[in-house]
Amino acid sequence: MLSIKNYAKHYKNFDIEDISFDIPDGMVVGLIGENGAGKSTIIKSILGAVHPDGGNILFNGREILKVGKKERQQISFVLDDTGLPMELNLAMLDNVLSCIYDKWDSSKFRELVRQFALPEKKLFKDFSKGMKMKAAIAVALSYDSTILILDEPTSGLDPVVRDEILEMIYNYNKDGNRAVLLSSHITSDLEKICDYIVYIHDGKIIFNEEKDVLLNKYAVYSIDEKKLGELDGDAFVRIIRREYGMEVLAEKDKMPHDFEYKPVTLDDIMLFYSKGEQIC
Amino acid sequence: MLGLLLKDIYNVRKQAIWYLAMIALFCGLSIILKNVAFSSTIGILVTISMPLTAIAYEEKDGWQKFVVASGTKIRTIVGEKYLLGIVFALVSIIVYAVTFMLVGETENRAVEITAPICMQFFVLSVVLPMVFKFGVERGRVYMIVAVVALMAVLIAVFPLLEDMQEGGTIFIICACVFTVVAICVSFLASLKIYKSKEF
Repeated sequence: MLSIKNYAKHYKNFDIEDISFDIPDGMVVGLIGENGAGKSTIIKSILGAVHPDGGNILFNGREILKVGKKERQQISFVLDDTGLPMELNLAMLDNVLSCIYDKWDSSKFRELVRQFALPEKKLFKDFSKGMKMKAAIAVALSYDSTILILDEPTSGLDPVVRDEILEMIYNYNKDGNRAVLLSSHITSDLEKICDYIVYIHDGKIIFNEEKDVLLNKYAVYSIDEKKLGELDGDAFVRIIRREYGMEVLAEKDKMPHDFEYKPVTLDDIMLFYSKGEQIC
Repeated sequence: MLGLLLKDIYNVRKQAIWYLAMIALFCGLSIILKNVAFSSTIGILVTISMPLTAIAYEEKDGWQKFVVASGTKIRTIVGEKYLLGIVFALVSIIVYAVTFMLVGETENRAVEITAPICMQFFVLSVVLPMVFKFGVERGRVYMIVAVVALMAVLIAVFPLLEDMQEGGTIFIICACVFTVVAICVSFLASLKIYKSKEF
């Protein structure tokens, strides 16, 4: 299990503070948030590419910075820019990574390359964006890991490739105790496969909840100013005022049952939290 | 480390061919003009250019983030760049030594062979921490200044080396010790710089 406890990172004009969440074995955790909310920084800190200013990142109960190479390689990852050398082809990459990863499985890598229909002789720089991402996923799945971390793997890809990538993630997670941390601002992808959702806004956690609970707990209501005053203020989470009226993100249980509502999506929740007003 | 070295050799393979051709050209010039300074200066250029080109690719591809995330130790990542420089230095040294023998006019051979070789490693030890610290783009400017200065020193000192009959052995020992110390200090500095870097 991977645990982030009270994580903090300070930049000149931006702070990430008090971030705590777990990625339990066998679960898929989705990290959502707008661009620049701090998702990639947190992921890069887990992977050792950014140094936290506070808090702890624990992998199987041990501080991740103190974990040795062997254990560290139980974490596989897919970076938003893949990080793969663009002047190489897949055969070259296989040779290189077999020397870097202790448990590199060349036959599995070649099998995945065939399964994803990737050209073995072509240089990465000549791959399409979708092919690059598939190659990065093939790399991540070709060594024996217990957790897979993906930073914006579906960003900028067409729906067909996105679906294929989600399928790969699903297959990784379905057999056994392997966990996934998936960061994305394409929340429809996360709705399909995540068990938990962690929403980060402006460097802080807004919520960390089970996806089904979250989607059942809230709903979107279209109401006018008059009705707003008559209802229980505790039910309202955020309000967006529009020219044609008001939209309210509210807790369903606290609202009158005869009120018409629209089921909430993660996109709605993000929108309300980032653009909506709070009612005290 | 083998994987990192292999990756760099794959990455710089096209440039390496060009540099090998340049080594051959400069050595040919040295032989024709009976002046080994051409051969020695190209050695310096190759020794630093190869690791620099490799680092430039890594920065462009985001490989540094990848390799850190793979659990590879910082010591290995940094050490591999020194090894890459040393590998190409050895290639140019072999060619330089052959050129030197073919030109074969100078009397104080040991000093003239040792000085440019030590200079190659010294330049490497100066340039790599700068590039790790500032990145290839900014580091390249500092590097050019350093290399031009060191090359000027080498060219200025070369005639003096020919006259250095007495005390030649002491010079060689001092130069070798100085070079080894410079490489070690440089490696430790690079290590410290790389450990504090974020990708």
